[in-house]
This record gives sequence, C-alpha cells and structure tokens, in this order.
Amino acid sequence: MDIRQMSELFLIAFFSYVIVLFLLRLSGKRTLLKMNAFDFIITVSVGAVFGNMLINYKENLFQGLYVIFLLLLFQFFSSLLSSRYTFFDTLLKANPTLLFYEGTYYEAILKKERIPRSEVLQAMREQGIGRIEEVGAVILETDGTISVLPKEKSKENNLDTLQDLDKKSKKRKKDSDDDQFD
Amino acid sequence: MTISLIEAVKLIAISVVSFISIVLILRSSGKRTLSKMNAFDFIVTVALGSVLATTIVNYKASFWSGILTFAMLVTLQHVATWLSVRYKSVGSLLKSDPALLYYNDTFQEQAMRKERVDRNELKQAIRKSGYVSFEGISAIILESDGTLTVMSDSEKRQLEKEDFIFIEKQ
Repeated sequence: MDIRQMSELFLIAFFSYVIVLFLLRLSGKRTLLKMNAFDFIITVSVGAVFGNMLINYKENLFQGLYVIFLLLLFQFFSSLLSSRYTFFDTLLKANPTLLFYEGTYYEAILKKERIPRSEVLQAMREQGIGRIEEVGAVILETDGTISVLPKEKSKENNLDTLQDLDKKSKKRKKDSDDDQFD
Repeated sequence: MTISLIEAVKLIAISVVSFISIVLILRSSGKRTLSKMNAFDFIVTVALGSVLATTIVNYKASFWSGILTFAMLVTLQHVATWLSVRYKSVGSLLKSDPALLYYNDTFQEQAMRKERVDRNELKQAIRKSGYVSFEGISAIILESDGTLTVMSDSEKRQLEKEDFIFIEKQ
C-alpha cells in the first residue's frame, strides 16, 4: 500500500462519512426509531453497506451511496404513510399480542408465537418484578420485545395503552375481565 | 472447500493481529466512539463491524487497507464528536434536537406528523417502560438517537413546560 492509495482512502472515507451523515440527518430521528422488526434491520443494513462500500471503494463506492440513499428513502416513505394512514400501518406492522393477563398464560398464543414460559418469566425479571402475582399483563410488541405491565398500576388506571392489541387478544382480555365479575 | 494447514495458521495470525489493532484503535479513541448518542453513532458502529469482518475474510486482498479504513472511521467519529463538544454550530449540525410528542395530556399532533410517529408507537413506548396508561405520563420525548423517552407523573411535579428548554421550538 503506497502513499497515493492511502490518501485516496482518506479522501473517500471523509467524503462518504459526510454524505451518509447528511442523508441520515435529512431523513430524521424517526429513521432509527426501533418500532417494528423492520426498522432495526434497515439500520443495520445501512451500517453494513457503509462499511462494505469503504472497503471495496474501487467497485462499490457510488453503488453503496445509492443503496443507502434508497434504503433511507423507502424507510422515510413507509413511516410517512403509516403515520398518516391506518391502512398502511396495519399493512406494515402486526398488532401487539397479549401473552399473559391477570395470572393466566395464553398457551395457544405462546406456542403460535414460539415463546416458552421461561422467556415470559425472564421479561418479568428484567422489569425487576419478582412475583408473578405482581404482573397485570405481558405483551409481545411489534418489534419483538416483551413488555410487562405491573398490576398495581393497571388497577388504578384504565389500560388505555392496550387499545391497539390484536382482535383475539382483546377478546381474551375481555373474557378474563368478565370472569372476575362472576 | 479445503483449507491447508498453512492457511489455517495464517488466518489465526491475521485474526489475532486485527483483533489487537482494533482494540488499540478503539482504546486510543475513547469510550465515546462506541456510545450511541445520535442517529449516526450506531450506523458507524455497524460499519466498523462490517469493515472488520471483510478485512479478516479477504485478508489477502485488503488486510492493511481494512485496518486503515477502520482507523479512518474511528478518527472521523473522534473528530466529529471533538468538534461538536467545542463548537455549538457543529453540534447542532450533527445532531437533531429532541422533540416533544406528548405533553400535558395532549398529543403534540404537529410534531408527531413531522417526525412520522403515530399514536400506537407512543402506546408501545409507554408499555415498554412499564406503564399502563397515558394517565400517569407527563411527557414523551423523541430523542436524537431515535429512542422514545417516557416521563412519568412524579417527574412532572418538578418540571413545567418552560423547563423543557432542550426541546426544539414547536
């Protein structure tokens, strides 16, 4: 590797750094918000393309910049459409699913979503909860994380963050609520 | 695919050398290089991983240029953060300001549309922080690294809207 190559690499790294930074800044904070499975993949892809295009700059530099531009553009339009039209939102994102509610595991759902009970327990522990009785609801979110809602908070408030659950989860929650009044 | 003994030994040596170089480069640049404070930091971290992987896999063609590229990226990141700490204008160029999306029991519709965030995503953020309802929430903020911060009511008692000075003008 001679000095000419080194200075070439220097210039290329510098300018692509500035360009990628500019593209990201242009597309906004939302681009990196990890709200569904896809957001995170896009973020990692942009990073991988960036790295690859620097290493193989002789063949891939402009192609790489173009691909990053396209990835960010698609991400921009998909989030734009889904924040404005519910139709696109339901197309791009699954609704969250209720896995556990007021002491009951939903076995069929756990099987369908391929989540063992041990992972539900792990999610509870990660929230700092030690007793299952303290848990009001456990929800599988659209980005693949598991939310745990503590019981004492769900008792005193209405559960208005659960409005966007999928239909079956809503029905199970309703059945369980009805049981308690019997 | 077969791999000769010499090649296997070479690959071990290459991996060790690149590992040591990467540790030295990262250590000399400091912790800040890998912290995820703005939109760009995470992308650069992934790019570093990608450069390292390609360097090791194609060591015959691009070993030293790979290490150099790695060092270049780390240096650029170092310089960018160095400048943004010292000069405000560079800082605001590299980083967007946080945006207030929910405050005082109202959705900040205009900011939500501008940042392309919908109500379901705010609900998801609330659930993830272990709250169950909008009732206990005083503010939700979209941070410049693309995460949503949920602030509960107990923090509201000390904070009034004027205190959110770090929020961009709506």
